[in-house]
Amino acid sequence: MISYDELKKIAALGKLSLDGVDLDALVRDVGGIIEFADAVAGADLTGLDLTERDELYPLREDVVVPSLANAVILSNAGASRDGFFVAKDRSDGSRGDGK
Amino acid sequence: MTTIAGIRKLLTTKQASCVELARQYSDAAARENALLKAYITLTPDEALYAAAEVDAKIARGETLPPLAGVPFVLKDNISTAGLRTTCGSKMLESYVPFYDAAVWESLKAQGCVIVGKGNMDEFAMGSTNETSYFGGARNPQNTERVAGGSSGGVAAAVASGTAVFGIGSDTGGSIRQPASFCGIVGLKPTYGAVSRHGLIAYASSLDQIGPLTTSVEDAAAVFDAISARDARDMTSHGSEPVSPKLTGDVRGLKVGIAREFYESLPDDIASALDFTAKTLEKLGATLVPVEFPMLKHALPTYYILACAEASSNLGRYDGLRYGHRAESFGSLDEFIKKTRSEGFGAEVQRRILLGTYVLSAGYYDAYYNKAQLLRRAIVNDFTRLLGEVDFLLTPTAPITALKFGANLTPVETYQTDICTVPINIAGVPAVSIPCGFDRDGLPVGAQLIGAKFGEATILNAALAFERETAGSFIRLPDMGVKL
Repeated sequence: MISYDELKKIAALGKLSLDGVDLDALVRDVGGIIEFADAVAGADLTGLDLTERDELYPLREDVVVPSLANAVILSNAGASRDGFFVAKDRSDGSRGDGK
Repeated sequence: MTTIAGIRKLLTTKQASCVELARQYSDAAARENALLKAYITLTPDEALYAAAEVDAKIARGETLPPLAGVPFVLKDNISTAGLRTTCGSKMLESYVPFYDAAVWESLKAQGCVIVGKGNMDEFAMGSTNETSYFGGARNPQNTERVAGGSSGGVAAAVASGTAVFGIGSDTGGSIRQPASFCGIVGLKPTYGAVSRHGLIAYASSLDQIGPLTTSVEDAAAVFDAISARDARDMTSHGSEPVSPKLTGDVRGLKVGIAREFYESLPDDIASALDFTAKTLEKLGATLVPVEFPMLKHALPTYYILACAEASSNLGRYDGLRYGHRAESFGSLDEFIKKTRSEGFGAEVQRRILLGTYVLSAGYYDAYYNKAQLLRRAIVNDFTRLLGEVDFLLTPTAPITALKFGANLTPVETYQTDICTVPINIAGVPAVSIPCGFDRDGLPVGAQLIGAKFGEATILNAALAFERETAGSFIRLPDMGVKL
């Protein structure tokens, strides 16, 4: 199971708000999923090695390619200024500082 | 039911122009979509534009690529420049990509006619299509039933005859399971056979793109058109064309039957699988009992790895650069949290929470590292098995299409993925083919699993079965376009 405090901590790490959420239901659901994931605990892992690599998928060298134009990158943003992303207005009317 | 060859014949014999066909398919898609919700976005203008180009090529006497003029549906997590790509989410409800996915580039180069963007579970997380922000796609076989997930809209579009083929993505069964539910063919290619460039990521080490079709030959033709090495996806490898290798001859092949996949199967599904095995045996294949002991660890391994990757991949949705954004907030941190909690649905948030949990300090070794080791064990098991036999035959799912609102718990829903997730963990190819019907007349799917880059082997066996049964298990409803 997962405690309420643990759930709040994980939600903060995952950048999720729990405002208005039915915490009892969420603890039950997430706890059930964790219990389900706990099945890996009993597995026999003897002789397994994570350093083995699959030769079918060799890593490739990075290749530098031209970037997209700044205006294109900003085209889906809700707000931008001077070529930067800007968070939308705060509830108090001042600008967010999302550069 | 119209196949790719059927469309080609209509075009090359000039019985119909491509524009006429595009109009018919677009009209049918709009008509049926009111009930089926197979499409999130219909694209009649793009369809007519592409069709006019094909007609111009025909008029000039040019040789047409194999898929030229064929109407199709593209899952809505595949980027299309200038066409909104929602991923089935409020988060991306108004998002319009500025670049094309590699598969969409390939299909455009072929002259394919896009009918629309297919409905899907939000961010491909779901097995029933009910997590779509736009409402779940209905199953054309029985509209009280779900189309499956996550590529349910694509399967519904193809099964309803409003698209000749579809392109889906498969992270844990998202092509094969909806294909099984809707009674069509669905191919999850080898990891690396098809470029994922432009596919909105769910779990990058598991995601793969593939076709949904009404025949095995069509699945091979579409796979050949989209399989290529692509420098923009470092895992892409490409593949040899499989269509020329299809003979429908399975004589001498060994078919592995792993009993673990058949435990607790309902009688009607078990009976359809038994018929499939016996048919392959009658055609000259040998059935070989094998063991796959790692199956019991596949589901938790999958959900730990997939959710861990999802929590990382979905970290990019912060409301600043694109997508939904919260209207009011006190701080930037609050803005991001509110944006994400408003933009993501409940299932996506549950998976982000699980993924964050298994990656967090104190739990990483207990969950994520163990799951990585188990992944290696599952890969080893498949390598051993597929050294002993040519392919494995299993059910695609232990159930047929569920009723809408079946109200399973998250874990109960995950457990229905038991037959499909091991294939993604191992990166091997698998195809689902219709092989019978349950007691309610709903389609049952059989899954053929091959070795890496063994698409030709499994499609060949699928073709043998389809030919022997004269395609009698592909019974599509009276919807869509009748040509």
